[in-house]
Amino acid sequence: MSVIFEDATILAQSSQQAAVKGHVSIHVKTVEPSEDDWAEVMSAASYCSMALFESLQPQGTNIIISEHLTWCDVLARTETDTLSFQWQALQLSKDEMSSIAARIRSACDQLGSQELPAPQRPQVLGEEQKVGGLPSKKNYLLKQLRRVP
Amino acid sequence: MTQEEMLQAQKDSCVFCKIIAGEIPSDKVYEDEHIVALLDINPASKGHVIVLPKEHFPILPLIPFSVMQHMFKKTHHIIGALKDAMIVSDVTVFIANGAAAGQQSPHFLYHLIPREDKDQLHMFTLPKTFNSDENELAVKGFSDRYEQLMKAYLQEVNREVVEVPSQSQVPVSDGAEDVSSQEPLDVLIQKIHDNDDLKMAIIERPGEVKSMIASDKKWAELFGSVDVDELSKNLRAMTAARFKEHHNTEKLVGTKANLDDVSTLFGVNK
Repeated sequence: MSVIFEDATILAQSSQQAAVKGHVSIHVKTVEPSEDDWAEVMSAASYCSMALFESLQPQGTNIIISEHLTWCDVLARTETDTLSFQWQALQLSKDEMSSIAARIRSACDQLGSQELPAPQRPQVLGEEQKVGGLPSKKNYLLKQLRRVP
Repeated sequence: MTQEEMLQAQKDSCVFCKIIAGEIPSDKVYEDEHIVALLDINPASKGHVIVLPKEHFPILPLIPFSVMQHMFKKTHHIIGALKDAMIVSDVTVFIANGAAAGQQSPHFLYHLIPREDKDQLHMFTLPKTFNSDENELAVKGFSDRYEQLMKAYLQEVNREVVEVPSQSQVPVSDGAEDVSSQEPLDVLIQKIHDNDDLKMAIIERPGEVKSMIASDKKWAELFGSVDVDELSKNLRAMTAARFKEHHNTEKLVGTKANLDDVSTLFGVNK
């Protein structure tokens, strides 16, 4: 397992469970990601995709983020690989679609009217992150406990 | 035809540009100056939304940095709204760059797919179909370039680059470390690291662990001022991520921890 980049928010490494040649897993450390964390994770995936294109010259790339932003997979794709992300489309009536859209629109409006929380700043070098009341300590194992993917 | 003319021709025939212009009806759920989010007409699940920039860009790398950052930040809020509206706890983000990856639209977009426990979207659980060692070699080949891109990004957004120990600097525990010379917190970490029962007790039964701490001096000394609830949450997330890494599944097997066994660690009985 090869770590290719790490900072306070993410840890990017070659996947141990590789689905294709050129499969990077990005672990997200933040428990409750802010909008800045989201931007960093998606940007990290995007730049990883760019680096993959430059290095391996695939015919495409996929980015998949799931599990409450704890995990992100970046995959180099070729026409001959065995992956497929085709889904069976749900058949929903026009009324049902309108009703769902109204619910989401309303939730978006509510979120938009709220004051957004201040973005979390990343840990800087030498500044210890205090999680769960743990006292500051430079220790790899402690770092592991604090590393919340 | 020049590249600009080709792009203009692509824009002129782009369905999504027509949707954004209001020439084709759609179920919009969010819109601002730069982006729009609307229901996918071929949804993978109820509430499946696509997010796209208002201006026509065929691929992600062509989108201006400020628009890209705005779009990514708004994704955080749209996902929050999706979770509230569809009463789901998770949303998968799916991006396809290039036809081989499943990109079907000439207008860059990405999918936000609300997930339910027993949905049939198994395609997002990736199979292990490639040799990991060979993948590692391939990934190492662009690690310098990736680091360069990420450092430039962090500088651009004024996020600090945090140095982390390289793998060669990481101490590897053989499980037989002499704990007597360690600080109290190190001892606790070592105990958690070495003992799965203790780890599972903290994850699954933090209330009982707190009771033990309150009632037993040795437990109290070991845990000190550690917030057990927070530790439990962090350990759960870390264990789930590792479990997925090794077993490629989202389910964490619920091994019931035995607190009696854990108690023997400290020479006390529950």
